[in-house]
Amino acid sequence: MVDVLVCAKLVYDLENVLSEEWRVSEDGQSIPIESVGKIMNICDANALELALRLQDQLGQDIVRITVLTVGSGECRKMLSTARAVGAQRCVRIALEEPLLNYASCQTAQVLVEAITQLGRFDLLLFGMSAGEYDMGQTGLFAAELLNLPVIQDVISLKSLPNGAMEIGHLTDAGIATSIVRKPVVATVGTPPEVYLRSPTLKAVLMASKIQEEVLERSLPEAGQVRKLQKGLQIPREKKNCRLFDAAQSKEMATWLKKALDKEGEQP
Amino acid sequence: MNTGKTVQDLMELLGKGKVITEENVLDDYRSDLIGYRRWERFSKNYRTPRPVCVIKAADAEDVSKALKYLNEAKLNVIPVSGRSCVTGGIESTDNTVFLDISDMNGVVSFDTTNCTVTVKAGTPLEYLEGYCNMRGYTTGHFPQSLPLAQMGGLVATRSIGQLSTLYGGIEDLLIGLEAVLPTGEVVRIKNVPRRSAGIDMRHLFMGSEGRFGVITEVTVKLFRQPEGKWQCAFGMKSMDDGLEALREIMQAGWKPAVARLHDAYEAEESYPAYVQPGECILFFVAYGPKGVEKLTGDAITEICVNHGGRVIGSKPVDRWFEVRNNVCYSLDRHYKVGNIGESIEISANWSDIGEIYKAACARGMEEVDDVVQFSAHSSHSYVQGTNMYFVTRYKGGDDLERNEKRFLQVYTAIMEETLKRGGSICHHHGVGKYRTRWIEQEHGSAYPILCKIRDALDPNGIMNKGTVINDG
Repeated sequence: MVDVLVCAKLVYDLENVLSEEWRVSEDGQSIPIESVGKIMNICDANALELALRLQDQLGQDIVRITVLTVGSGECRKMLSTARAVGAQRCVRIALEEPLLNYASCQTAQVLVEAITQLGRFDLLLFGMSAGEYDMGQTGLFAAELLNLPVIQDVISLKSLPNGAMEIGHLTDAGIATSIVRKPVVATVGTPPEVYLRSPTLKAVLMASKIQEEVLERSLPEAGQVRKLQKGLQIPREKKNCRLFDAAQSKEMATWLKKALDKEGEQP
Repeated sequence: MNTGKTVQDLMELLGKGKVITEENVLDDYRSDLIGYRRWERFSKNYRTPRPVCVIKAADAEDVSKALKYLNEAKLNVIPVSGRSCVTGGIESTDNTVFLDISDMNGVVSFDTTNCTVTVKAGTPLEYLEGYCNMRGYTTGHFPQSLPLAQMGGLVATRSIGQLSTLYGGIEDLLIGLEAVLPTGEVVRIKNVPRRSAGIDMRHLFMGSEGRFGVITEVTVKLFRQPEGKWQCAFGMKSMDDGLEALREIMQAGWKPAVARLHDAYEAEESYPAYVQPGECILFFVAYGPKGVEKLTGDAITEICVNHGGRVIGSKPVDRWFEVRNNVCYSLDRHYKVGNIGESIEISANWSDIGEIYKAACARGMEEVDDVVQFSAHSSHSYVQGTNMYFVTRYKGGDDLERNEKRFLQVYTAIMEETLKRGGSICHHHGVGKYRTRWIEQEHGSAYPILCKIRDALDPNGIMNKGTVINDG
């Protein structure tokens, strides 16, 4: 059994903003995009598609997909669509107050609390960033809070017979493949040829009859979030950056291991 | 057949550069650019045969020479221009030669005294519209295929534009033409505003889809750019309410340029921020000399509100204007997510159109496995009735026979429900090859006339076999 969690966010469909509406609002803080609809964030949709491809590969009985979101009842259609394409469980975190914008750490904390309550997951997929604010931090914060390894910009997932995962991901040097033990967090961007499949009308009809699970939550206190953020920061004076240039990843890994084993050693 | 000899002969006759035999080019011509076989094009898994060659004609003389030769050789000829067909009208069959007229392009004359423009048949409509706009005029013809379509093809398929309620279809816009008959004779139908000199022979070529000759030049109307513009969208509780409002507007004599009613599926998909759950969207654009547009708009608003319409405003119409032809820039958008997309339009009288919509959608949902979308909109209305443009998507796969089965299920549901209620199986996409199995039912006792015209004009039966007419 592979339990996969996909975190999804409902965002404004920026592709559909009229060209004349691409202007800054009077408050100087936003653009007036209320006249467009909302969709599942593209990176999250791609993450769901990768999970579904894993499910295609191993079967619905083996790969169980849970989709988790934070938001109001307007997320219902997104979750219903996720169920219609193959997610078995959909959970919505209902907050008394909306999440703050530009507050990835707060979002991650809300998600992680729910994830811990929902059970154990082998693979936790996050969109690399959301179209609106493009912070690209929620998945990383969540991995940190869950104390799990994280792989970024994932483009393919494969389950190996020994229970490990083979994860293809993009790096500055090109495509890399990592074999990792579960559980693992992965962030998904816009992999080539990955688009969320469409649900059939019959599946949509069936899915619309099932309500999502709702977890009532309150926002974590600002002080708690700040404390957490502080814990994740390395003070400037303690930062020790070194640049190592290696052609081969094996060479790089050897150096990194040595560096971590013997802190301060210069290669 | 000896294809090598055919190609050699054509090269000698027309010049080597005008006869193309490169395999990748021939594969590109196997089927329509849009429509069902786009899936095969996308997956490079073809069910249609590779053509013998493609002739790129430079002028009517080339077309004439080629047709004389091919008529004697009795080879199937498919004339093509922009190739934005969706009905299989330019889908290759065995031993086919494509006669491409897209190199025959350009404005021949621009006549503002008589408000006409004459162009070579391969002239892109988008270019022509821009040419007219720069001079303060418009063709009034805006099909969704505008970025791809060329003038000869638009006439040959009996095209219609998005502003048809004001400007009419191509049958209202075409003044005269030049064509080459299957046996090679060049004929010209002169440009006059109207005449009663017997049968109107323009209609032999409009909608002929290449069966009765190759169109080489067309003359269409010019209109002055309108002064005033009004637009508004309304949320309607049901398609029935929307159709009733449309009927009243048309029968009261109002002439909006655009009158579109999208069902709840399409409304939610394309205008989610504007419609309430389950609402259909009805919107209009009115043009005219200053003042006419406001008068039209006020009357339309009153009628829509009387039919339970909720005034939404002009934003959805802005959005429609912005994206209305985007399909031409993302032809593979359905295939990327594993779906096959099909658009099938029919027309019927007001008394029947609502029932056709409901019955076809119900059958689509019931009979077509893996159907992802089965929606519709009315986009061209008349005093007597309107069209219904079905948009369907279903899951595709590597099994081409399975795909074809789904495709036929979709088509059959719409064609049968339309014919059952006295409607027409094609409103503006033409018959192509996909609808010929229903064409005898479409024309009834008049159908033999079509066959007799074919036999008279194309005695060797070389022109676009299996299209428009069921050749058995």
